[in-house]
Amino acid sequence: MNRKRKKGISVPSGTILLFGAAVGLLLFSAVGSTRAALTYYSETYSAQIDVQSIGVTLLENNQVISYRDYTHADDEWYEASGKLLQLPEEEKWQIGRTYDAELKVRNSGVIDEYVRVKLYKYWVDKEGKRLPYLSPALIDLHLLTDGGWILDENATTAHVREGDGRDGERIVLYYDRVLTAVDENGSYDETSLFADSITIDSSVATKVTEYKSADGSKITTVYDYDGASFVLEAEVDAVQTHNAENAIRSAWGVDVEIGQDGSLRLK
Amino acid sequence: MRQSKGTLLTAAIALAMVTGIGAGSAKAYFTTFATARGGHEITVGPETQITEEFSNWTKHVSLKNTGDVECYVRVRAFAGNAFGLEYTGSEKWYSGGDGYWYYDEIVPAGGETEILDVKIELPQVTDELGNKVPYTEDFNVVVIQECTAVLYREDGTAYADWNGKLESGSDRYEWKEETE
Repeated sequence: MNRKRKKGISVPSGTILLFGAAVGLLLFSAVGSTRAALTYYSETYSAQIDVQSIGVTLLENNQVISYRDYTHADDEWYEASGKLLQLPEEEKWQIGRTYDAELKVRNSGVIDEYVRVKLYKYWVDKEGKRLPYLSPALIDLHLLTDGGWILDENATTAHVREGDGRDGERIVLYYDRVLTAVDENGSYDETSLFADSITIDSSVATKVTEYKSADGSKITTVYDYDGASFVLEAEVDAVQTHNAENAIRSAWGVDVEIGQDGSLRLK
Repeated sequence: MRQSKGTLLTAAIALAMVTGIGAGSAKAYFTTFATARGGHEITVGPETQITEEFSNWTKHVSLKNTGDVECYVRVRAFAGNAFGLEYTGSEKWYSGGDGYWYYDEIVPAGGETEILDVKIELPQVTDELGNKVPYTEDFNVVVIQECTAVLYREDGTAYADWNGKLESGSDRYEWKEETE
């Protein structure tokens, strides 16, 4: 019996040591994974592991409006968010008039990237509360999709062309080629324009709601769009070109196909 | 020898577990974004108020823009068939050939037009003595005024759409009871 018990506990010390080391490594590995998972979408975490610098800039009429660039040297994000559709002071927006809104994207980082744009157009009241019963289609943003921009028909809910029955807020566009990093001469790569003008349809001056008094003797006509403000929002997203299909699926949640020449196609 | 095999096996399992667990978590991609927004308030629904002064059988008409938005205006006078109406006054008023007289300038919010004179030509009647005299008994000359929003063509040229029809009662809009 004693011999048997002795045999049971006589595990070699080397094996125990190795097993302990394995458990230790396993725990360490799990902690590392957990950290990675927790900070998977964290910009701070991305910045810390970034040995290069990604950046993107939105331009309107050749003016920088918004940007967000990582600078590795300072380990910081440099960013600014500006206003679209600015008018000279004291000037009011004119119904029916077409205004220039030449929108494009610049790669302001030092690595190549793919970009997409999400646009939202809608109406708000004086407190900024959305007015979903007013038509976004009357905010006529003229899109340009012949210069490399692909309209994501599945994600787009807005009216984008004549005869289009949709009247939602969202437009999603993907640029079908790589936007290269700034070159050694400091020259930035930019997309073609994805929009060039915006017009508030004149019919906003004819849309009314009629209110009838309780006894039916008085009818009051109220202009639906009077005092409402239209809003155009733009969000530009950029992602690395290395392992692009997985990166885009992870970052943007869409499946794309990247060609040998770097061209992007929605699946 | 047996101990050595066990050691190797343990080490191999440990290595596989470590690498296997680590494989799924080592993905992080470089991404960034930039956002911007902008917009403007739209004002429609102009309001105007008419002012009439009367002297020498002439109505002196002017319109004031009492709303918050610029507008175009026009007026028209109505009288009985026997009464003639002659329009004079500021050259900024012109006949549209449709019975309306149009003001050729945009009236800004708070602004006022120049005066349009509407002279009433009284019909001649015969009095008790057989003389031809102007008829000055009770009669009505009514002046109506209308305003419309200033619209713009794509190039920014302003215009008025006097034939535009208000749209109501579509699928989206229903008649509502006034709450007050």
